[in-house]
Amino acid sequence: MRIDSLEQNDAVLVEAAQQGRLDSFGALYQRYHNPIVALAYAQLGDKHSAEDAAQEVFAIACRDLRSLRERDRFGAWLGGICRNVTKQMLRVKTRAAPLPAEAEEVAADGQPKQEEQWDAVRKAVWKLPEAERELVVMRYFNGFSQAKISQVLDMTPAAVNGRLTRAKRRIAELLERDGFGSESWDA
Amino acid sequence: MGRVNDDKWLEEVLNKAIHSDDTRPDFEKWKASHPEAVEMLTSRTPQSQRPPVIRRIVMNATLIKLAAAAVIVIAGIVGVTQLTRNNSEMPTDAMQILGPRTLLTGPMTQLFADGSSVQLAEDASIRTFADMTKRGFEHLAGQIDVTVAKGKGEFIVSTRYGDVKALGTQFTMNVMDEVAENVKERVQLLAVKVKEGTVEVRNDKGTTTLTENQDVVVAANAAPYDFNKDEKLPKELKARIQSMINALKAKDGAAWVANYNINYVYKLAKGQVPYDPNKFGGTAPDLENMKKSLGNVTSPEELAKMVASGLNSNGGEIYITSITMNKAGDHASAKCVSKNGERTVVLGPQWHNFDGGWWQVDD
Repeated sequence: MRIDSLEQNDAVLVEAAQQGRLDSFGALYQRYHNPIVALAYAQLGDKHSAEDAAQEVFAIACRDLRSLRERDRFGAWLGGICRNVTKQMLRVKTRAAPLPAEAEEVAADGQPKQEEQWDAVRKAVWKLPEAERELVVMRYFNGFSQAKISQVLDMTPAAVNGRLTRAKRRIAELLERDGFGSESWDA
Repeated sequence: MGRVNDDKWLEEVLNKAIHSDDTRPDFEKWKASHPEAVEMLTSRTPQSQRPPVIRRIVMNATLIKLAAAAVIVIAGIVGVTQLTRNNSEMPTDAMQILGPRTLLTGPMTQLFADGSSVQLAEDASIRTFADMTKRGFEHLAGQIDVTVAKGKGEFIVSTRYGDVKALGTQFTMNVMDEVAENVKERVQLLAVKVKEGTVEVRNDKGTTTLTENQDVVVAANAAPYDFNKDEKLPKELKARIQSMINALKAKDGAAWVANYNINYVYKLAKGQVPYDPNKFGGTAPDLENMKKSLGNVTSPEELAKMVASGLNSNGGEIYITSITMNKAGDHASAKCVSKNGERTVVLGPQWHNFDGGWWQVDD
């Protein structure tokens, strides 16, 4: 029900924007900016570059919006543009989706510093297959709803749920293997 | 390990590691830094719905129209070439002056005072130059047909992929920047086709001159490319490719099938010749599927009919951006874009040289 009403709102906003209503495009921008930054972050591994990519994604969307026929699929359309933009950015950088920088410092007591722990988590996330990585980053970047994620990634909410569960299991296993299992986080 | 399946700790650490609070949408800032994109979206809005900035520009244009008669005289003297009027098919006012960097969007036809004209398809857009004494305009997007008045000097249409210089001619241009439906790749190119006269297409990678019925494709960051002028390609291959393009555009099944070595395909489907990945573009499983689907075909003639009737073309345009030959010179692969209305698809056809200069498409 929530998805239906969300789609309907998107379609209405898209139609108005296609007629030149900039305020409607602004509403879509507000609605999808953060998910698109999150999706770009999942590809690029760098928040500043992800922000830049999102700017470009909306510029392309604004310019090409009139060509969008399936107005209720605006989120998925935007997600497609985002993947394309980030792919080009990566091609320019001539490197694959990077892992976030590794922390090397160790606390005086020999225990890894907390930042190192977060790095280990990010590393595990970036080791996931692209489809799972996108999902995990979108879910935890800004706490997006399953409905919003399913719109941008063009998946059913059930598929989002299933894939997210599998991805988290895989992350847990990777962390466990690298010595950052559940017990490491108790303190 | 016992807690691998317990989600709570993982939820917490993922939140802390990935969560970002400092990302905030700021539409006003985005708008200010992307005026061209905003202009593209709002330029065809009915006047009552246009935002104030756009409305002001239009109103200014209307005020200028009131002074048009006086300006025409002056313009005639000083030779201002951007003094324009819309042709009779257009529902807008009969006479208007376009200021520097004025955006026009299709569908419409714009007639210039020097007799040149440009017809914009739906979703096409152009913009006048900042320098109003310069003949021509900037082509931003979509398909346009340009007719340049003869004997008036150089006429330039500039695009982000290269410039087109014309001297009394008719030509069609298409500027594309969109995402291909099939591969989700961004397609950025300029296509120019000359109907009459001569044009020069130039960018910082190269220059080519086109005459009647010639065309060229300029991909982003690449030199203008016309496979018919590519000296690396054998003439039989060029003829084959041109023939296939013509058949696709004309939706002519019989002409299409003439490009196939039907006897070979038939023998392949019937297992009478061995699988050769250089000659059949698909994989071995693809061949098996083909054998199954053609199991009931009893002759090469029947196969030809089937291929002809199966031609799935909606016409449209085919733009070849590059063709690469292998070292042996018997295999060619192309990158091309098929554009039909709203549908844009990236294709990668390949051809192999059989005996006797026969080039067979590998699909």
